[in-house]
Amino acid sequence: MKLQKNGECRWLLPRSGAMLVPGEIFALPDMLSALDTDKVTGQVANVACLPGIIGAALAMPDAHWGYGFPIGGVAAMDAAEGVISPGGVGYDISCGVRLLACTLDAADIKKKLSEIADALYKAVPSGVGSETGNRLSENELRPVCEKGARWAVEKGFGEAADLECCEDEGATAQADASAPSARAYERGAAQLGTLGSGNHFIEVQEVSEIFDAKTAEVFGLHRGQAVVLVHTGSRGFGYQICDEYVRLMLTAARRYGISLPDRQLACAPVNSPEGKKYFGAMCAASNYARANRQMIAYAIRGAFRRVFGASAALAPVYDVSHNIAKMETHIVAGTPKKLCVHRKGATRAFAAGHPDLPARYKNTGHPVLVPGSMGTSSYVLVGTARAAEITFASVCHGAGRAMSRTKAAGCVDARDLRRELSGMCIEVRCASMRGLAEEAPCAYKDVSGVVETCRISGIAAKVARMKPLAVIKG
Amino acid sequence: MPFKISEHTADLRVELEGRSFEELLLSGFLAVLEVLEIDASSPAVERVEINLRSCDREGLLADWLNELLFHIQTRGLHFACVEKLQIDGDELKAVLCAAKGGVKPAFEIKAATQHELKIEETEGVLHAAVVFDL
Repeated sequence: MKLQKNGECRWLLPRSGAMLVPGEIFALPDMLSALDTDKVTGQVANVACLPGIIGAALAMPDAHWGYGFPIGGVAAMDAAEGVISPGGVGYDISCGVRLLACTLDAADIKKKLSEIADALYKAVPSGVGSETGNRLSENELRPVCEKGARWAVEKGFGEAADLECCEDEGATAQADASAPSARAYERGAAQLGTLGSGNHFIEVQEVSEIFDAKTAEVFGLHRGQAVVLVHTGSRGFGYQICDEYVRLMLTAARRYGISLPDRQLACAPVNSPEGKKYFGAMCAASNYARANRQMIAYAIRGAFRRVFGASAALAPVYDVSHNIAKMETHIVAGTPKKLCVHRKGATRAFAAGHPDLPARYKNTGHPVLVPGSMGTSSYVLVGTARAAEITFASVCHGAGRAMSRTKAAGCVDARDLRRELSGMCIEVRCASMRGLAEEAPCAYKDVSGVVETCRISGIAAKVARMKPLAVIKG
Repeated sequence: MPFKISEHTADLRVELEGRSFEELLLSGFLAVLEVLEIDASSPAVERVEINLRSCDREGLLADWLNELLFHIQTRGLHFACVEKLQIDGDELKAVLCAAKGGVKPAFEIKAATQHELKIEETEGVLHAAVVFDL
């Protein structure tokens, strides 16, 4: 499949075969080769075949080969006539990022860097199958699924002000706590408040560069400040829901006469009983993920107070999911249209003036949080009106993998990596040395190039860059 | 080994083979234990029954793997062997021997995906490649 240049950092995949719309890939010319181009274009083409897709099947600059959808994929479906696909959200439903801004500067943190790294590692259960030791029954988890981060705040794990800086004020109202199975509740019973493994992390960072001082001030960020970035999702609860609904939708797709180019794209009409039930279950998992990040933020605050004293407060900047399907209204051919926007490894980016923004960010747009790999930068961006026009207000969600986990584990010596990071004055705590090797910076694309692609193509503006001080790996 | 672990940028791909569908499922069982680094030589103390019905054989293969993952990762079962495995159309009945409270798996697998899952036969041997989401 041949890509055609379609503007700065934009590559068009023309319609062919069963594609209902074209595809579009965002990438710097020299990053196309690192994109698994054939794999990504093939997956973009498959997504473009799904009924009710609007505009184009998109791949963000951090896109790479996924399963079904590419990671970094965005697909907006007509909410009235289109489909919803669990594979377009992924297993880690509502995996996302939360940024906390510290009252202390990085210089203060560096004096006790090892202590805070130890305290964070101790405070937040992390690693394979991490659990809290406190099992919640289905009846106890149902309010979590309904109220999300609000449930956690009501239980004392945070403050009301936290919710004002969360996507949807910490909970989506469309959750149906009866839609997840007993097994999903069993799988999530002991995992609320845990980081998990894989690419999940907590990172203490220093704001090293400000690109837009005015917006950074609104976001509560300044150069030299310490911040904390948390990356995790809905844990086993979400994995189980996705698995069960992919299975359900395979059967449903046949019944509705939907031809699937890939089984993992199993789907059903948004308005079908199966589609509605999945959406309710997915929103329940999304609320679980938001409560999870809220509880982790609470534990992080406790660790900071223990190490640095009561003056070390952590204010919320934003919390946003990057694996999610959301009902949103976008302008299509000049007319507002309700769409089911799938973001599989992509971040929503509402620009200034959008009606769904929290009051604090009405005039700027909400912060878009883009974590880099260990040892490299992370970024805070902000969405643009252009993103609303061409990407359904979506941008990248990270650096994007360039190397498989197997390959990274085979060619990176975790002890060498740890020494290398230590040489960069980065403290690392990890549950698994192999996990550390799999997440080595060389396994990822250059996050600065990814972010630059967003800037050049006009879908986001840079606000701040952060560099890591301490990394807690799951 | 009736399976081979290969690369996938985001995840892990396992190529399975077997002279029958039952053998293919057993290859999947061994692959899951290998990926999670579970020692199958532990003494089994209990039997676990698994009953599945899926839309087709590819679906049954993915469901079988996901069922194993659920029991291992959520219920802490340490599978030692498959004592009985019976296939009837798109239905599966199995009895597995397991130890409880074994060592935690070294890795977490979110799920066996359906991505490009297709069972193909070459010279009397069935092949399937399963992508695991890690």
